[in-house]
Amino acid sequence: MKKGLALLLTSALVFSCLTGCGKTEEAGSSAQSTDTTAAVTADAGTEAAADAGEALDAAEQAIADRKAKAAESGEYEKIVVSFFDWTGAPAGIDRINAKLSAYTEETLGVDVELLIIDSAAYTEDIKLMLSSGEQVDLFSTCGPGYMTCVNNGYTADLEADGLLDTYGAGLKDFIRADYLDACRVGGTLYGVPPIKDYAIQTAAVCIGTEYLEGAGVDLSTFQKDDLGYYKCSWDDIDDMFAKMHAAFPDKTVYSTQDNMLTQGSCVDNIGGDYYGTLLNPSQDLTIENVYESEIFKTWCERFYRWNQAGYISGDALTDTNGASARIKSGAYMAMMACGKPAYENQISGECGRPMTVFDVGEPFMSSSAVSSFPWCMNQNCADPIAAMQVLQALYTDPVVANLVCWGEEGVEYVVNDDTTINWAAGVDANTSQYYPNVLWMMPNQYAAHVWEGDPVDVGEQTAKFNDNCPVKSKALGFTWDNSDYAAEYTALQNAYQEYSGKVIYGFVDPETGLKELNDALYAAGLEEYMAAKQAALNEWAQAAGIN
Amino acid sequence: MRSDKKFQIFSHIVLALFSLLALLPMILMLVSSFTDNNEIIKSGYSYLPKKWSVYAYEYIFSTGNSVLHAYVISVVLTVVGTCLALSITTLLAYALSKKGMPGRGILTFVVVFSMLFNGGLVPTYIIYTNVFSIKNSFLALLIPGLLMNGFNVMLMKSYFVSSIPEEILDATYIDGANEWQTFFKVVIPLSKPILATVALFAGIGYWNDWMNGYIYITKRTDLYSLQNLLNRMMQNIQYLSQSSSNIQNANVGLSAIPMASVRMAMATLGILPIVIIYPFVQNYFVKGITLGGVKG
Amino acid sequence: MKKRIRRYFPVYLMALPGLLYLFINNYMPLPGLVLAFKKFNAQKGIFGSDFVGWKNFKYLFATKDAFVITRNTILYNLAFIVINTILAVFVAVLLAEMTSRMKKIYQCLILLPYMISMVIVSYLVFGYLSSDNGFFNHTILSALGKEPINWYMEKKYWPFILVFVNAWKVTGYNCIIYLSTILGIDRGIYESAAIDGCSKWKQITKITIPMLKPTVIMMTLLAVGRIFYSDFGLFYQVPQNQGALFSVTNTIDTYVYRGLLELGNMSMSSAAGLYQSVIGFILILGANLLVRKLDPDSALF
Repeated sequence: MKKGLALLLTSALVFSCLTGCGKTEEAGSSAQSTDTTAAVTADAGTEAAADAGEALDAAEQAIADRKAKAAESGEYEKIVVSFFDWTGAPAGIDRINAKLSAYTEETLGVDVELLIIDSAAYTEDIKLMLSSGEQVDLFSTCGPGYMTCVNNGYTADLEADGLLDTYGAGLKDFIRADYLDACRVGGTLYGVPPIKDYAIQTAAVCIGTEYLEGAGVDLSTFQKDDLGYYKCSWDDIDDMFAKMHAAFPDKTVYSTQDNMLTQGSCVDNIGGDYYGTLLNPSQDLTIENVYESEIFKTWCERFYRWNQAGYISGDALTDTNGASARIKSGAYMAMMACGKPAYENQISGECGRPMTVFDVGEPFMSSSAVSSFPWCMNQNCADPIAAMQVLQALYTDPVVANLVCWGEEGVEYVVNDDTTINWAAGVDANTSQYYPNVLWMMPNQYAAHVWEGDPVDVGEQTAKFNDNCPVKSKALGFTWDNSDYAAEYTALQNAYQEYSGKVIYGFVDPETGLKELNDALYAAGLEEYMAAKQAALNEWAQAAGIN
Repeated sequence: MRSDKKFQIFSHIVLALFSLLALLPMILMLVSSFTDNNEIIKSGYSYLPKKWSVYAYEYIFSTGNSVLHAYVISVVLTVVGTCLALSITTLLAYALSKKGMPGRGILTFVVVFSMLFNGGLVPTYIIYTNVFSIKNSFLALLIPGLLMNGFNVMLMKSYFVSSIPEEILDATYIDGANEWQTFFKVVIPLSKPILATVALFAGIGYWNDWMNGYIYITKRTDLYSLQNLLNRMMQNIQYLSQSSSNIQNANVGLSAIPMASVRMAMATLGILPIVIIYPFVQNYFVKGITLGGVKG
Repeated sequence: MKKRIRRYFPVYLMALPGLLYLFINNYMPLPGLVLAFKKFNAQKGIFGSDFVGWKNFKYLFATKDAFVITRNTILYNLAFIVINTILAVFVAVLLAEMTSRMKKIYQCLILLPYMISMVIVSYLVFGYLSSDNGFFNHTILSALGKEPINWYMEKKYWPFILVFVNAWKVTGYNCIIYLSTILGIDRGIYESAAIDGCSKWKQITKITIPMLKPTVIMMTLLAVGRIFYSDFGLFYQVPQNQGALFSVTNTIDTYVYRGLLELGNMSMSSAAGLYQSVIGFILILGANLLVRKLDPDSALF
């Protein structure tokens, strides 16, 4: 375990350097190591370091105060942290909360209660709790949505009275400044992003390996990209589909889902929707209608061609099964998703057969990639200082991260020699008493152990993948409150859903289908909506000094 | 009498037809729940699937929270809820049926108004959690929304008005009975069909409810009722499949969930108890209340 | 007057638990309706939030769809009122007059559809109508040698499909209401009618149907109050949210849902609810007034 911890700390350290934070403080700083951190920064002897020292003093003072108060009353104050899982409060939640609190009482002078609600009810429940003043101090906005939470006034300003600087200094060092800035709304920081893959490898076409072989596709002609996937063009894909269709006439070639823009293009859905987008987000901040663009038209023509050729099921519009579930059933052969490190394993698992991934698109980081579901603090929080310190521990303390992500060592999981982990004896996904399985939502999954089978340095790989992303939206961090345009938005949603299906799955000639769709969107107020978005974007760009 | 016989035959034919219409989709549901999941995705729902499987049930009974425990909660909730609901609904409806009672019109309006307007989810939630503090308790399943509704009250009131002649009530008052004695000795026995109806409606309401559990039960998974549990499972699976690209260990579990057949298995489990209990309720739908003798 | 109140004192006592519950469950949260006129902000609370007037209602009308969704909502509800009432009364009469023990089984089977959720219904409907594998296309139409129909693209079928599905689901439930009313009718009336040589058919039209009239009127009045509401599952899930069908399936509830799902705006959903309630309230008052003129005993209040 010790060795594991050390390794994790190192990898976290490497990671923090990679994410480009200037300071030398180690990322995995748990409260025990704050002394050494203080020493290191003090040695530097600069003004900034003195500030940091002061901040640490204040932070330690706050912890000491809470401990003193607890010694007096015999009870530690409690910070409630809420997020969702797939099964509701896990059976072992009380045990994990006790473990967690026993540790945080020592390090932070607070009890921590994880309030885990299942995904089905979380969105509704968290909104109700935040509206009614119940105690929830920290919460994930995955579910209700970040902008909804900000617009409804649920979230606290994390920088009020120097809160983040003084009590969350570790967070500031740990999360790259531009990622942190990406979560600002109107200049105010309401949340901190979870550490995860923000970039996506667009248009990863996944095809069952057996079908490729059966159709006699020669893979040796393709080169591999950085992630190890075959690089190819849409013409190559067309070619393969034709061969597969000929070889397996009983099977449907392509398993559809409405993801051509989200996962298959570098169009930036700026402000959170596709009604007015950036078509060339790394260069240009002009908002345009994507549904009139060549990009979208090309997609629709492709699907029309595929549909005419019989690659698409007649039930594509109504089939609610997941794209991968359909491939798993054996009736479909290919689908499109977005790639990332270690994706081939995952998609093969989902589809129940070996899949070959083709990289047809390019990597892309959209303006909302970072700010899609940050962690926030309740504006009603009784003790923001304690909450901020708990938030910092969630990101930086491996003990806390492991308990929150994986549960208790020896009960839920065991650590292998290479620091990866696996189920403890007699435990699996169904019988585990604590298995939230929401790593991607966790504040910092890389502070915790890595599951067996994934590369130990997956955190490092992901950071590199994010940082090396060549197409990053210029508007990274732009957020927009569309509540003044709710009438237009509602009408647009209805118009889109009315006219999009036929044309995106190629059931109608793009010429007529696109015209119908665009006419409906303009009638629903697309022009006004886009103009409002553009005005907000211009204002934001000016304030942020981007042009 | 010949016309009566013809009528009976006609009734049989029509009702058998209606029953068949109701039953056929139910059978499809039952069969689907025993169909191999991949088979459903591949060739659709079918009465005669090529491949049978009980995996959907295995999955439901082996995952997470106990389905049997949820059954117990649902039964207790339905029994307690129905008794309470029936009592207060009957009392209020009887009061509203009193033609001479001052304020009757206003009170009836109060009931009807409550059916049309509601304060919305957030204010209701705040009242029940902040004022009455029933969150994460059995009461949270029992009280909000379900205990009484204006519809049942109006239904019952209308029965009392039309089917219990005032002459009978007046006769009992003259015999010296007070209001309560009249209510229990005369009104209740004459109202069996409507009591059974309202009990049935309230019972169905409690049995099928999952909203209260969704909103008010955040910590106590031991208070999940059957429908609450099944609905959560269903939505979680749906959500899980939609965000599968985000889940690291998606191959652990997700791909093994037989989504299409599980849905049908859950629906089947949900209506099973009604099929068992309903015949007993029906005993109260008795024909032939003869008032002639009393009326004289 | 005082004497009358005292005379009815036990009756008020009987009404008390129910009224208390209504007060807590329905009336205490009512002030929350002001939310419809505010821009909700948790920091300021429901009552402290900024007043924005009618702005939250704007999205319900500021669209070319406003006419379509209102028309659909009203027309479907009218169809449901008429068809469901006729079916339920019809089935209730048959069940009440049936002497065989089979009636229990019939009654149980007809109620069953009411017990399953609309989500499940939508999958069952899909099982019948799916264009590739559906029961209709696959088995029936192909046996008849007819071309398969792409059901989810052809809007002309959907008004019938939705009315049918709705009737299929609620007839069992509604017929219980009429059945209990019929069972409450004094048997003596039927006996003397039979002695007078009235046929079954005559008994039904001359005794049963008139006796059912107050219940039918009440049910209709209550349904009128909800005429701006629609069963979300029926109109959203059963047609699988298919765009090609919107002009015949889009109702106020589904329209609002598509926008608010992502917006998560409580004030706007509150506004939609208030709009539906107020219209229902006005209609029910009007209809009740009319009934009071024609048949005072059947009026609601």
